[in-house]
Amino acid sequence: MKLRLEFVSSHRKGKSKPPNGKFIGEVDLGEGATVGALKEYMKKIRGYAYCRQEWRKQPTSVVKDGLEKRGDLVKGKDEEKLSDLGVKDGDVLCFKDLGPQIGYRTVFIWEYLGPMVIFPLFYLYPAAFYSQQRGAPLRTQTLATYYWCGHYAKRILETLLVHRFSHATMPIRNLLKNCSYYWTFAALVSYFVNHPAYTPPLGGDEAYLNACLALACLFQAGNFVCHVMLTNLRKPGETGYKIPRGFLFEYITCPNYTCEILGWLMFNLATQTAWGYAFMLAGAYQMCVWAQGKHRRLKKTFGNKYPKNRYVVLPPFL
Amino acid sequence: MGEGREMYLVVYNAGMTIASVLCTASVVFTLLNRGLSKVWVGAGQMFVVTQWLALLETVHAAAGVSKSSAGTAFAQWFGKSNVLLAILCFVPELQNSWATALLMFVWSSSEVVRYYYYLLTIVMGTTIPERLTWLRYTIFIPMYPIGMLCELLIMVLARPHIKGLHSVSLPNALNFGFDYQAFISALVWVYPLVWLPMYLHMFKLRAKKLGDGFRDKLKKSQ
Repeated sequence: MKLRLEFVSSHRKGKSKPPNGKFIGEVDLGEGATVGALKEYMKKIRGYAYCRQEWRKQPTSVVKDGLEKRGDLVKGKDEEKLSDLGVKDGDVLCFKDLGPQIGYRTVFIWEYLGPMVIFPLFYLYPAAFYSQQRGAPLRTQTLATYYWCGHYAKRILETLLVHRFSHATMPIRNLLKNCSYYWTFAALVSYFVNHPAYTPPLGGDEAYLNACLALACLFQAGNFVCHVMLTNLRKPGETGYKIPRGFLFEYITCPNYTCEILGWLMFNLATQTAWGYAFMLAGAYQMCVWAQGKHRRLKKTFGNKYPKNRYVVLPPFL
Repeated sequence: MGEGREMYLVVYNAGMTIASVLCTASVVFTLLNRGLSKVWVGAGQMFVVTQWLALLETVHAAAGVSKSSAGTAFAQWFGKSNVLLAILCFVPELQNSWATALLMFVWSSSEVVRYYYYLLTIVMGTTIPERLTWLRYTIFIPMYPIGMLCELLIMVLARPHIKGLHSVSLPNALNFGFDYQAFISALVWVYPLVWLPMYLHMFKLRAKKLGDGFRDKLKKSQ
């Protein structure tokens, strides 16, 4: 298969490097050339790692003001044949450098490790953070700290053992963005939960606290079950969308988010801090956006075959 | 919808232009008649009213009435309100400072140009006088840094006078606390870092608006 390779032509201001449509090379990758072969060639002659490479077919139509519509993405596993992705002999392929990448798994572990370390600092060393003296921690503060750390330990274990990431990467600056979100909220929530003048809800009533945290743990368990089911949805090697069935999936498209949001609601009912509620709302908003995207995608893919009675994420509202 | 919207924006921007002219005029008149230290006493109230009316810009952006981004609009309103509504209104020790007088002049005169420019863009479209475009995209070059430095100075000078002001302390039912003095101490460091990209962004806009054949147009119009 003979191909002509060019840098993607970019009309956006300040993004003119590398130059518009600059020629990279002409290459004959032979019969049955794969995505891997193309990426290997690019790596050899220009030094871009596989995960930084984005390939598109040459733009074929002009939208307006001389701006070209972007060509179709040529994306597949390394062993997939280019011809299966619609690339023909003599085609022009355009290359875009996605910049330095980092694995999803690495990002997740860093963003979850932070809260797990930061939250207990306020609990264990109050003298370092507060001007007032704090006596023995309240039961609410102790259990909140255990719950918080347990929650993030669960997330880390899921990242390592349950979630499937294949080769997915993201731009490296997302690491900073995601970490600052999780780490800052952890510090703010912990600062006020462990404050010497902290007031527990209902005067720290034991039964109330136990009930809230027990429910929170139950929702976490539900979230975990959903994650395992999502991982097992596709057999190894299977690709494409599938309709999840069973358990809470019968009623909700994204029950894992439902459980997550309700889990944080229970934590907040147990601890009652303004920043805790803010953290819950920020997370809930983001999860609703994701869930809506997934719901639409599934409905679009399966049409009438997708069950109509499923809520998106928050029954009975959404 | 289109015409009603335009009509409304014309009224709003005309009103804000007049308000800004009145602000500038009262600064200048009090300065000349009663001296530097009386500028706040003479013009402060008018600034407060104008600033509250300026909050509508964020509302317009959020509601889609204007095309600008609600986030940026609010950030700009918040930055100015912090100094004007949260500090100057509450700290009499700063009201007679020269930095306050200078800042009030820089603020109001810049706003006159800005609102008048908006007004004429709606009314005249592309036939807007080139010299006004030039002024709009040139006057910020000295005004922005002077304004920013004055705001920064006021925050630094205010620090000893704002202990406990606008603050919430524990214990309370929502376990929420806020220390305005600490917030200002942190903001003093962050301010220039947030400000610089905005300043540089204005230069980019300037190059876009005043570049490519603008000079020729300006010459022709003379």
